[in-house]
Amino acid sequence: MIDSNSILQQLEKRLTKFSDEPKIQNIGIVEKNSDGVVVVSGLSLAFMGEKIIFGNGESGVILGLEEDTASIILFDKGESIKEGDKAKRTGNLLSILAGEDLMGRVINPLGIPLDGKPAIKKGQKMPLERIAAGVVEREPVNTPLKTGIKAIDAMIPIGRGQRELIIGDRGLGKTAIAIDTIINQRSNVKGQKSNVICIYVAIGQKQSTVAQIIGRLKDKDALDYTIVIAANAPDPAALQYLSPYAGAAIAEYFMQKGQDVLIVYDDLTKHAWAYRQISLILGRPAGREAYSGDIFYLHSRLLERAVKMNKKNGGGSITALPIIETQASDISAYIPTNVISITDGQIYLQSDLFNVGIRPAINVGNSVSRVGGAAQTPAIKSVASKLRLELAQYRELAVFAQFGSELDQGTLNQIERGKRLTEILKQPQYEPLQEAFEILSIWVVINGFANDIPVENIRRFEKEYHQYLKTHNPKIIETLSSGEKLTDSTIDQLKKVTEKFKKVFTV
Amino acid sequence: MTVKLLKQLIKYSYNNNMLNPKNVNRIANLLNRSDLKLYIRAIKIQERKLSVFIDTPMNNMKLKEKFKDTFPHKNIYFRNDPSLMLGARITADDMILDINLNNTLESIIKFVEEDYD
Repeated sequence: MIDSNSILQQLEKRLTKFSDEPKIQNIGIVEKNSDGVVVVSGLSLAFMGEKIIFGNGESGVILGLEEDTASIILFDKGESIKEGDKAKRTGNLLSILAGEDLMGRVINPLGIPLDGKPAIKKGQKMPLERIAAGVVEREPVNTPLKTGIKAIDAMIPIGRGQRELIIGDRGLGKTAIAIDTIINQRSNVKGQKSNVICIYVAIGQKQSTVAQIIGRLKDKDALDYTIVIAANAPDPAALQYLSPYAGAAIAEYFMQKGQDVLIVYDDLTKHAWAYRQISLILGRPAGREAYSGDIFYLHSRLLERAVKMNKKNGGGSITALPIIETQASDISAYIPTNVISITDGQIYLQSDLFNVGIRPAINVGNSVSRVGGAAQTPAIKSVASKLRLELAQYRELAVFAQFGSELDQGTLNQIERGKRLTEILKQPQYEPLQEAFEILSIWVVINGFANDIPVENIRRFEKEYHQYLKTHNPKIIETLSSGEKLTDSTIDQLKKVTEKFKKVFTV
Repeated sequence: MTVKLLKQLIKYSYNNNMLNPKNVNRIANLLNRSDLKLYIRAIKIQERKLSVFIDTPMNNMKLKEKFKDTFPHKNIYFRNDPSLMLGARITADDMILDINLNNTLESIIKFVEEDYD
C-alpha cells in the first residue's frame, strides 16, 4: 500500500512543472482573408512555419513573413475569419503525433482521424518540416525492398532507403504498383508482424478513390501495418501541401526506432498544384508554368528525407515511392523532369503498352533504378541479368519483323522467346509474387523451357509450374527464397523438375 | 507608393504622438484610392504602436498613475473588465501581458487538463 506521504510527494512533484508566471502573448490582427490565406499584422515575434490560432478556434501556419505582416495558410475554409480578428502565436512549429497507435488508421495531415475511430492522444511530437539526415548518418542502399512485381524486382530493383519515381499518364496503374508493393510487405508467416511499415499519402485525390484503396488494403490484410494520410480533393490547398511532410514526419519516427518504412506519395503532381495555388495567393512571383521559384526545393527537401541510416544510427530506412502523373506521356514537362532528377530512378508506365494488354505497362527502356542493383539478391540477379538485354533485342527485332521480310531461324527463335518473356512479365493487379516464384518464372523462359508452349498458354503454364514446384519440390522454393546465387546443382535440379512438369502439362 | 514614402507620410501625420488632423486631411486629399487604403492601414498600425490598453477589474486611480509613469511616451487607455477579477491585462502593440487572477486560474485548468489523465 502506498502511504499518504508518497502520494502527496508525487502530487507536489507534478505541481513543480506548473508555472504561475504572468503570461506574455504575441498577437496579430487580421488584415485580409482571401482564398485560404490570411494576412495578419502584428505577430512581431512569429517565425516561419509556426502554428497560429485564430479567435474562432481555426488554425493555420505561417508561410510568409514581411516587414509588418505575416501570411498564414489556413487548415480550414476560414469563412468566419474577418478583418480585425485576433490571431495568437503558439510558439510551436507545426508537428504531428507519431506512435504505434497510428497503425491501421486513416488521418489527415494534422493527425485528426478520418476513420471515425478515437483521436490519437499518445505519441511523440514530430515536426513536419525537418532537415534530412546528413551523409555521416547514412549508408548506401544495400537491402532489397521487394515489390512482388516480376518486371520491377528483376529489372528495376528497389532498395531500402531508395527514392523510386513511378511516372505515367492517368489510369495506367501507377497507384496499383504502389499498392502491390504495400501488400507485398505483408509477412508470409501468419500472425507475424510485417518488417516494413507502410505509409500511403493521398494528395488531392477523389474521396471515392481513397476509400477504394483503403478497402483494398483491408481486404488483403495490409492495413494493419499501413498508415493512410489523406488530404483529398475537397480539402484546402494547405492540407494538400502539408500531407507529404506529415507522412515523412511519421516515417521518421519509425525510422528513428530502427524500423524500415515504405512511403508512397500519391501524387506529387497534385502536391505541386496545391503549392502553386498557395504561392500565387501569397503573391510570390510566378515562374515556369506559373509555379513559384522554390518548386524544386519543395520536392527535393521532401524526398531527401528518404534515407538508409547506418548501424550506429539505428539502421532504419525510409523508402519513398513518389508518383507523378504526366499529360500525354510528356515526361519532359517541368514537374516530371524535376522529380526525375531528384529521385534514384523511375518506373515509366506507357499507354501504348497498357493498350496492347501488357500490364504492368512498364517501359523497360525508359525505366531505371540507379542504386537498387546493389540491393538485389544474388539469386534474382543471376537470372535477371540477361532479361533486360533479351527484351531490348526482342523489341528491336519485333519492329524489324513487322515489315514481313524473311528471317533466319535464330532471329525467329529470339522473337518467339521475347514474346514469351513479355507474356511472363504480365502480372494481375494485387497479386504480388514471392521472390522464389519470380526467379522461377523468369528462369524458365530465359532458358528456353517455354519455347514450345503457345504464347496464349504461358500464364497458365506459369501458374501450374509454381503449383507443381510447391507440392513436388518445396526444397527448391526454400533454396531460392534464401536469395543466394543459383548453384550448378540447383540449376540441374530445376532442369530435371521442369522437364518432368512439362510432361504432365497439357497445352 | 513605396514603403519609404509611406513611412514619411506617417511621420508627417503625427505631432507629439498625436494625429494631426490638418496634416492627415492634406495628405488624404492628395492620395488616390489604393494609396489611401495603404495610408489608413499604416495609420492604424502606428496607432496600435503608440497606444497601450490597460484592462482592470476596478477603478483604481493610484494604479492608473503608476501605469502612466511606466509608459511615459504612449497614449494610455484604461478599460474596465470585471472578468479579470484581480490584477490587469496590458496590451501594447502586438504584445499582451496577463497579470491577473483570471489568467492564473485558466493556466491551472489548462495544466490539469494536459497533465492529468
